[in-house]
Amino acid sequence: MSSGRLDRIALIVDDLEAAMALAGAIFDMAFVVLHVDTMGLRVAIGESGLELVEKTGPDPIAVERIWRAPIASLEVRVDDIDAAIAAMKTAGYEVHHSLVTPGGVPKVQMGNAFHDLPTLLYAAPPGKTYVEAVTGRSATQSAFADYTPAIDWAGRQ
Amino acid sequence: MSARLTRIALAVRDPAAMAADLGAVFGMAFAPADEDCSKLRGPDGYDLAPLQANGAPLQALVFSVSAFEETAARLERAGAICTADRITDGRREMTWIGTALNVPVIIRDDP
Repeated sequence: MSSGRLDRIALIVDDLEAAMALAGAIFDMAFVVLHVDTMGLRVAIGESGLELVEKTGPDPIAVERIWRAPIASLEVRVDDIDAAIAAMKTAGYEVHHSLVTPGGVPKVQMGNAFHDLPTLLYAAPPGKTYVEAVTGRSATQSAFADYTPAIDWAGRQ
Repeated sequence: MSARLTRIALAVRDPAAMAADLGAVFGMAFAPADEDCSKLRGPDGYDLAPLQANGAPLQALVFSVSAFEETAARLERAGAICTADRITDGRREMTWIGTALNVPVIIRDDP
């Protein structure tokens, strides 16, 4: 058995700036925004366990199909990504696609077969904040960065 | 003022089955969160409740806030609408809808 914890949730929002402004004004949250043009998305990543996802354009890998509004992904932080993938496969679930974030964190999307929720696995290294580990930046920078992930389509392309 | 996202209320078709799978695969332990055991509470702030017909898989985000009245005032100024104001487990809670987050937001007094 692998070890993991439900750690983050990514919400689909219509207006990223408005959602970020609200989260900042009401709850003092800060985000780093990644422009992921290859997936037609912008993603605001914060330390609070909340991520905000806005659709911005064409979605060539059809990631939108696995969303279950308002959830873009439910993220499970695992100690060992390979062991977690193996455990999910043993339980009957297959990898949908995977990518590596700008900060070098592997993220593995298992699709929405797991109880009809888009479920994502990731393993972040210790010693860094989540935002630093994933984006290579600090949330206090309020940074906006372009990001072109190499997506492993799990053999379906 | 401090605010923490402390609970995420998910709704799924079979909470017990999902909890069992999360336990088997990741070692997570869920426990009943209400008297009829329909809602389960996990170790990381996630609740699993039965999905209602035409219901959304995310019921609410719960934030524990130190400055309750100020947070409520901020939400009101942001155009959110309060739909519930109650005491739960001795703490005041308010539910707000109509924010740019697209999900109900519950603030819980945590001074």
